[in-house]
Amino acid sequence: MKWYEKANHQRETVVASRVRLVRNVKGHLFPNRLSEKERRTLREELQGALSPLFPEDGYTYLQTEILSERERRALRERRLINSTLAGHEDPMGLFVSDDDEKSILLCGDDHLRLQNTLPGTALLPAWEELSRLDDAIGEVLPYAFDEKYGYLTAFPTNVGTGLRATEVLHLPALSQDKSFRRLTSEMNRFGIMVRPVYGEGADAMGALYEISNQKTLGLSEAEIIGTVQRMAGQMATQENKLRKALREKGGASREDQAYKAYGVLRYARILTCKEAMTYLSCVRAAVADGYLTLREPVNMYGLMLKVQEDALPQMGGKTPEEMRAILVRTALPDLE
Amino acid sequence: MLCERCRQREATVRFTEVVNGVSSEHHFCLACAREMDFGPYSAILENFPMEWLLSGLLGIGGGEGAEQEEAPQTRFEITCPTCGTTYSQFVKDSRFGCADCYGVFDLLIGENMKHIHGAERHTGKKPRMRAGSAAAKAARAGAKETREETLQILRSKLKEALREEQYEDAARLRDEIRSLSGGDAQ
Ligand SMILES: [Zn+2]
Ligand SMILES: [Zn+2]
Repeated sequence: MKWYEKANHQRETVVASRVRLVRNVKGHLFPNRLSEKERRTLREELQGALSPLFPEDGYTYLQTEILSERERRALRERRLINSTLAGHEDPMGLFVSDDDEKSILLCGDDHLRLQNTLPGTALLPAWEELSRLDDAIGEVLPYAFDEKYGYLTAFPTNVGTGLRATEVLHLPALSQDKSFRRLTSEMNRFGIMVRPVYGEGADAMGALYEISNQKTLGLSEAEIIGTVQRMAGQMATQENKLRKALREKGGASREDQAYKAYGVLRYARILTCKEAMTYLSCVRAAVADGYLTLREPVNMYGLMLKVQEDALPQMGGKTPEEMRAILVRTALPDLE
Repeated sequence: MLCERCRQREATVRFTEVVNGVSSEHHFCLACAREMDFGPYSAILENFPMEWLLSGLLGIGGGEGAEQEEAPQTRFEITCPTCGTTYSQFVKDSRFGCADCYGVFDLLIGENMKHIHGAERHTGKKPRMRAGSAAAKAARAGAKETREETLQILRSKLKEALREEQYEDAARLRDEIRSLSGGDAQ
């Protein structure tokens, strides 16, 4: 089972923690400089060297060029490849653990991209696991490393540690608050990026935001993890404060919103992605704030991932909007 | 390709000059390029201010305006010998072609790095290769030949040149051997 499918009563503002490392191997040009044939050869070489580390019981290995464009976009929805690569037919390799927590992309923008995602506030444990994996890979493949610039990467924005640390936050109240923009630009000054997970700017869907480090050179991994965790923590605290204030203000309006959202998700026959995301976000917050009590635990974030256009299961005779409505109403538990 | 001036270092600067409609191309290493007189370009090579580079002054097809009038149809290009990425390509795509690019463009990217990261030096973890591990062996096999190995190759080339009576080549090889074995100046 994937980590985001495991039922939980997660109420925290921090949804997930993710760390990503970019690595290249000595003696080979970066993937975008390789011909398709050379790229294939290198991928096979890397796969051969790494396969003992990623046994078949626990990991799946995929070759991306044999996937359809939709399947590649679904990998992007699972955050296993980026959107640029999802649009390419270049041969890439992907080891992915059965729970979707760990993945290793071969021959993407760089030779290797290692990633680990854990639910909740867990940047440090996620990093410790990934760093051990990095060490194990470094025993089999010689990394391109420079005393001055650190780990050498195709993009200068990743050089040094090659580390991107991200916390995924659910910010339904804060993102609507007038302080949000100021807080975001303040974060930028500390080298922290705040970006919506889905959509752009004011069109952000589901109030999910990624908080991650911008700089990768000149800081140690521990410093990067620490800063992201501290900044994400500050945002989460702001969100919780706002939600507490709204609860204390009382009135039936928020409760009403929560029940309406639940009602739509439970009974609608057609759901657009935007509708589903908006109401799922509302129900998630309402459960955390105690307006709604679900009879069984459910992974709301997992549902938000699954209602995305390319992640939806396909069924003959049903439109994506109909499929989405079916998926949501079967997954959503009864109210207490 | 070796620098046509010192014939020792890898040529990374391509200098194209067009005189009376006849174009000639020269290849120099960065060190030589800096010692030579390229008129208005010498100052650039001296300091490499980032803004000038980004304005395309050193790039192919760049330079509209005053600079072009001063040195018409003269172009510089710095190229990574390993992957062929030129500096103007890097400026355009913000993307390197191989690990060696970092060394080749080192002087040019310092400011850029400071701008992106606020720092120029890695302070995080380093690869921990155990001696005898597969990675250590692979790294050694791929490493550049040592100076001793280079000297051996040059000496055998020199012998061959003398045998073939290629005296010009022989003289160049002798100079190379002399400068390479002559202490640690290089
Ligand atoms: Zn030279
Ligand atoms: Zn290169």
